[in-house]
Parts: sequence; C-alpha cells; structure tokens
Amino acid sequence: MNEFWALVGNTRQLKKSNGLRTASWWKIYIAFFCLLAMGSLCFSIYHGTIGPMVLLIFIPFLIFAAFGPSIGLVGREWSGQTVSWWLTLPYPRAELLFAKLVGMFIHWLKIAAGSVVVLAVFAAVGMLLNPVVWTTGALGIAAAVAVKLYILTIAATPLAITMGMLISVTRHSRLRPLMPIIMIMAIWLATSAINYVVISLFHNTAGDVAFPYVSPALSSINPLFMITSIVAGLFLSAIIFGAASYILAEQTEA
Amino acid sequence: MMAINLENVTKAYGSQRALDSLTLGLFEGQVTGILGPNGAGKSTLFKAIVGLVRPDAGRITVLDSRPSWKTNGQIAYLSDQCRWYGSHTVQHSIDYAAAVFPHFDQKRAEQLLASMGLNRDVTVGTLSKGHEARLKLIICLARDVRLMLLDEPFSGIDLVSREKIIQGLIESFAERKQTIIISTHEIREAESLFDQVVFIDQGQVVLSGEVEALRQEKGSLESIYRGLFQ
Amino acid sequence: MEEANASGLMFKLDLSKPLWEQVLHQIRGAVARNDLQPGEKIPSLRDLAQQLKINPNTVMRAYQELERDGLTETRRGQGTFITASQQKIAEARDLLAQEAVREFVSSMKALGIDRPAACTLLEEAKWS
Repeated sequence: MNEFWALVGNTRQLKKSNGLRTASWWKIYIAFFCLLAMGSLCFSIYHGTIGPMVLLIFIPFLIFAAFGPSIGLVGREWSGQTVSWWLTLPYPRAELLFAKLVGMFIHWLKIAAGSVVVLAVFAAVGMLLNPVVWTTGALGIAAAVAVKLYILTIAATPLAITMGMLISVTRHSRLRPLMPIIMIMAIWLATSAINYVVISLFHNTAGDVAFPYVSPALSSINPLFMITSIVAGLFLSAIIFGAASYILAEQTEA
Repeated sequence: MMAINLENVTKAYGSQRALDSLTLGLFEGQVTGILGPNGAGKSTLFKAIVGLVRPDAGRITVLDSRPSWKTNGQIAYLSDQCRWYGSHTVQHSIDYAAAVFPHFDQKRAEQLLASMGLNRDVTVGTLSKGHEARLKLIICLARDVRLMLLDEPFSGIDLVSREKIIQGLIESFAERKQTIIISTHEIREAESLFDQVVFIDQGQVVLSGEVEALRQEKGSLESIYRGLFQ
Repeated sequence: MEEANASGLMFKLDLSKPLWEQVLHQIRGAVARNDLQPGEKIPSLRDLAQQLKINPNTVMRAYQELERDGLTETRRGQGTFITASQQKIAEARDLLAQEAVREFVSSMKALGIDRPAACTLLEEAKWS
C-alpha cells in the first residue's frame, strides 16, 4: 500500500505545477475581486437584503471546485509528458485512478473546510452589522441546514470527481469521439442537481424562487432522503469510475 | 535466451505503418542498440514492448509474458518524450520513485545522484535539460529490474551529461546482468556500448547481428548505417 | 579512432574493427614493450570498460583471451595481474614481432619490392 499513498500525494504535486494561476499579478486580480465581493455582501447584510440562510446557497456549488480540477487531473499526465511513467506503473489502472480520486477528494475537503470558516466569519460579521436579522436563533437554524447541505455536497463530490476523470480519460483514448455524449451527460447531471437544489430547496411558501426566502423543505431534510441520496451518489460514482478504469485499461494508448 | 520476441508485429497509425510485420528477437543479458532514421518505428517498438500501444497484428513476448502493466514491474522504460514531475525536488523524486517503483534501490540512487553531480534540494522544473536527463536515467538505473528500455536517452543532451549517462550505464551493466535496449542517433558515441545491434527502417528490420562480428565483416556501425540509409 | 587513457596506458580503438581484439592486442603490446611490468596489476574489467567507455563484455573477451594465453592471472579477491613468467612475456613479444614482420612483408609486396631489396633496406635502416 506504500505506493498508493505516494500516488495520492503526487496528485497534490501535480496541482502545484500550475504556472499561470500562481503568478503574482494574477493573485492581485483575485484579491481585488474577493474584496469587491465581500464588500458588496457586507453592504447587503447591513441593509438587511441578505439573511443567514441565503449564504448557504453556495454550498452545493462547491462540487464545481472538484469537477473542474478533476478533468485536469488525468490530462496533466499527458500535458506534463509524464504519462509514460504513469501508465507503465505495475499497478491496476483502477488503482492509479483511485489514487487520483482520493487525492482530489482530500484536496477538496480542505476547500470545503475553508468554506466553513468563511461562513463562520460572515456569521460574525452579520451579527455585528445587522443584529436584527442575524439573531442567534436564525443562525442556529441556518447552521443545522448548512450541516445537511454539506453532507449532501460531500456525498455528491465523488460523482463530480469521477465525472471529471471520465471526461479526461475519454479525451485521451480511442473513444474520444464519444466525448460530446459524455459532456452532455455531465451537463445534464449538473443542471439537474443545481435545478433541484436551487429551485426546490430555495423557494418561498408560494412556490416562487425568491431571495431571501427559503423553503421549509430545506429546514427539514429527512434522514431517509439523505441516506438514499448518498447511496445513489456513491453508486453512480462507482459506475462512472468503473467506466473510466475500463477506458484507461483497454482503450488508451500513449 | 530471448528477453523479448516479436513475431510479425504490425502497428499502423492511419495509413502509415509504424511497425510492418516486424520480427525480432532481443537477447537476454546483452546491450542491444536499435538504430534507424527518424520515423523508422523505434519508439513504437518500445511502446509496444511496455504495452503503451497495442499492435494491430502479431505477437509480442516480453520476459515470457505478454506486454502489460504486470510485466512492467520488471521493466525500466525511459520514453523519448518524457519529463519528470517538475514540482518535485530531486530528493523527493527519489523518495517518490522508491515508493512507486518495485525493486528500487534507494541507496544506489543516492550514489548515482552524487556521481552525476545532482543537487538534492533543487526543483526538477529548474534543472537544465542535461541534468533532468541525468535524473531520469538515475531513476531507471536505480531499479533492480531484468529489462531496461532507453528510447533516445542522449537526444539533445550536452556532452558532459552524455558522458555521465554512459558512465552510469557501463557501471550498471557491469554490476548486474540486465538486458538493456537503447535507441539512439549518437551512433559514434554509443556504438562501443552495444553487444548486439538492430537496424530498423519503415517498421522492418533491415539488418541485425552481433556488433563485433559486423565490425569484422563490414566496418564501424556508423559506416554500416550510412551504407544502409544514405 | 577513439583514444583513451587507462591507468597510464594509451589505447587507440578503431570502431571499424572488432574492439576486443584491439584491447587484447594493445595490452599484449604493452606487456611486450615492458610498459606493463611482470606481476603488475591491471585495471579490473569494470574499470577498464569505464575508462575506455566500452561494453564490459568486450573487455571480458579480451581478458579471457589473455588468461588463456597465460599472460595474465586472476587472483580471487585481489584482481588481475600480469604474469611474472619471463617465458610468457617473451612469447608475447615473439608473437608481436612476427606480426610486425608479416606487416612489413605485406607492405613491401604491395609496393612491388622483392625479398632481396627488402633485406637491403633493412640492413641500411637506422636501428637506434
């Protein structure tokens, strides 16, 4: 198992070699954008247009922080010209991919943890700027909902990662012509999921999608629903992972 | 004893045949040079042996098995167009290689680092082409495996690095009887390393044999090459 | 022509002829000329291969031949040594001398010079 964790660790290494994104001028633009976003959020909080629940809407979108990079995970072996080392390793292709999956997942968990910190900071800011709306009671409810959303998102992330890997593996294989079909599948999955989360969970009692109202359904996601969603998500991920492993093993040449 | 056997192996890319019904046996425990012009099929030959490409026809036997990732546990393959992971330091490269490659002799790798003059704390991405080539070769040489495939290990490398690489190869071969297959364009520099030689053109074997016997019959490998491909 | 210096000995290797024969020949020559002393240690197989930058099997073939001739002896754990036997060294010298004579004869014949004329040339040649 020694080699497995070395391969997992190498996923992080591969991420490091992202020249463009770590350039200092790029960092300045990102910092500026973040300040702008945070500034407008604080403004809205102060004027009461945004309550605690509304902030939670970004949680499901965290899966895109896993989806995008996952496509690059496999592709980077090709673009970095290390594919001849990677594909000749004496381990099953499924192990090679699983190591990348685990590496990506661990990386994503750190981002998710970071997002929790950001939420906590905004909770504090909210209490400071607008104690009328941001009461401890409201924050308590929001926290409970946040936990449920995070759990659902964590369960959905393997699906996003395996989908990204499938896209990348297909792109570098003989089945490349199938790529448009897979992309359509991915887009359909993503839009259905977002559709479900945003529309069915973030609507007011009249059935309209409207900020800052939040559906009662969101505060009471029942355990059975959560379990079925998690199991379904993992099951789908396993199937997609199997497909990606098959393609890497049988349909890929380097 | 044949380490590698190819029987009527064909591999085509579109209408172009990289390997054209190629039949070849490569001796165990010997250094074999694969020589031929660009596009002759040398790289495709190597890739077929390690299973990176699958032939359209024919049969390949490597170390008494079919080419696959399982067999690659005993094969050290250096591709002609590969880089090492640029974000690694030299030291981490060795640690990583020791973890993922079976039969990796870490002590030997450290010795080779010293004799090849590589600084451990340097990031691989900042190494010159010659130094990166030395590192890639060290990673292959430090593996205690039965078969080593080097696809153009000298290509585009400075003189001193080439000499270091040759030194490392001789050392390795003297120490353990490995099968080493090398393809190169630096014929004059490398020909004194070969026990056997195979000349390939357009996916087929044009000439092969024991190097010293060929020298007796026809002269230097360089002159034979000129005679065949000019 | 590849020139290499191995432990003080000059080797000239011509890639258009078998290398093992040249290594053998040049070591023999060194012994005959006393460039290598009786009983002197010669480089190990690996070292010589490294210094000449050639395949160790080539050196091995030459060393095996030297051993067979009795010009060298391998002592386990210590290395390979030139024989102390003056007879063997003399034999090597004779062998090389005869080769040199054969070459001389060929050269003369190629120039169309007959034996008496060749002998006269030899008599008149400077010897010191």
